[in-house]
Amino acid sequence: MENILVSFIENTGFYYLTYKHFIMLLIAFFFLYLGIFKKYEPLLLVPISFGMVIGNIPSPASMSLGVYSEGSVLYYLYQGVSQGVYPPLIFIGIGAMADFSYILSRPILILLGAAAQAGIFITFIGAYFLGFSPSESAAIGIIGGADGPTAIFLTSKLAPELIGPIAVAAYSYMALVPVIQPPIMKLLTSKKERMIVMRSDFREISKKEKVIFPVGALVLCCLIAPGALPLLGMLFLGNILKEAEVTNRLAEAAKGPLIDIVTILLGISVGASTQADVFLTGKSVLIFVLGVISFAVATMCGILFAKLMNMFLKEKINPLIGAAGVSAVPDSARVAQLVASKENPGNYILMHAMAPNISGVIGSAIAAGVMWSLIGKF
Amino acid sequence: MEINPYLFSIYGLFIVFSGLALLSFAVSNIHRVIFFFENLKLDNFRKKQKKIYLTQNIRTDVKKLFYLSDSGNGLFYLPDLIEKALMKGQENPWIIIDFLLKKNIICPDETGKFFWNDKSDCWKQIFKK
Repeated sequence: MENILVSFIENTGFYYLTYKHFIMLLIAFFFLYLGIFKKYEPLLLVPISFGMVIGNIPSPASMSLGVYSEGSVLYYLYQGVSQGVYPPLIFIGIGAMADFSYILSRPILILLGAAAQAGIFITFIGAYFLGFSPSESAAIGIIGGADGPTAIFLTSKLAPELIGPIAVAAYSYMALVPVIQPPIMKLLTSKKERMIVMRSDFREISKKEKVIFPVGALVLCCLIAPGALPLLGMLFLGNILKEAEVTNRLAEAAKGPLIDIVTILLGISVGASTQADVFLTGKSVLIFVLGVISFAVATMCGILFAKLMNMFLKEKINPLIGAAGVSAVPDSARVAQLVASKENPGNYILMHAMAPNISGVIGSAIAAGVMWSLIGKF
Repeated sequence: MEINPYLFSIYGLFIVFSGLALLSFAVSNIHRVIFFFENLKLDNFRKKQKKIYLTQNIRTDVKKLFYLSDSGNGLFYLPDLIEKALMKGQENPWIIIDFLLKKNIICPDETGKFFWNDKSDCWKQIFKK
């Protein structure tokens, strides 16, 4: 009888439960709370945090259930993350949803998307001097791009052992854009600057321009940084499916079912990869700290560059849109709008902020491509 | 092999900046490229005209044409307009007429006359600039 009881307990998760699992489950519940009740990026945070619950329910080693156990269902789902398959698929959907007419009508604002990528490289230096290898430093730095798929893609290529903490950090900070960015925006801008009204007469963009853009931009960007091809290729493919207007079915599939399915698979497998024994390490904590620094520095660089541009531009731009250069689309643009409308309720800068926001996606993909091609050699 | 993090970061940021700056430049000029290719498809008459008018030229030419044709009642015949334009040294009036029609600045009526479209104020905007 006693043996049966012991055997029963040994076959339950309780027997293997440690304080680390407990901590991870609490973190997962907290993220679930943020996603469901606070509505912080629920489409990402809910599958990720639920995946964290799945990944942190302990089981006997012989059962081969987790993402790291070869042969398990989660293991196969996780291959999409570890081999960098999901991010380009998500980029097709993003491309099909993206409207590039904002950057076509205000091309100068594209530069803000480049400036915000400085956070990636500054954090790279910091991580390198904290003892991370060049590959790990690059993977940590890319968190500042605030682009989850790009962060996962680069990490899968350079430091696959860090995918769990980096993916969770990247997506968490994307979800926390409304919390992280406003204080930095207010710190670096005066009330007068936040009240700058930008002209609202956007140039009408012809269909030809919209069709030529994805092709031209792909060729141009990928000749400069060939490493960005898997991401930008898919991004611009998705966009041309939409703009061509003869492939509406494909565009609808890309921005609907495809991106939804891949987001679920990505979220659940990234979440499940945060198993306590792998995730709860000093390195992970450091990655989270460096990640938020990277994100903050990227925001700062975008704003400061907008202020720099204002020194040369006749028609001033609201420096808040510089913060949208981090590529959390469309959240950082929305936050810029919120902060601006708090100072002047009639000031609409959302459309202007979308330009650096979308160019930030392109910029972070180029940055990832550069890092992959250069660091991969070391 | 050791990596110099400073040099690497400067190089990386330079690539990102140059990529997006080039993109910005290309986007700023995309309408010119489209205009160029559209003109390649013009009929033989237009092909003979080697000069391709860009936006600024057209704006100037529209001003000239406006003064040429303003007979007081706002009506004019298209052939007259072209003839006058040619006499005054306009090299390619068809491009101008095309521009005026596309922008809805002039409209044809059933008698073959063209008239300035009073409902559209875009020609007024052009003259202001």
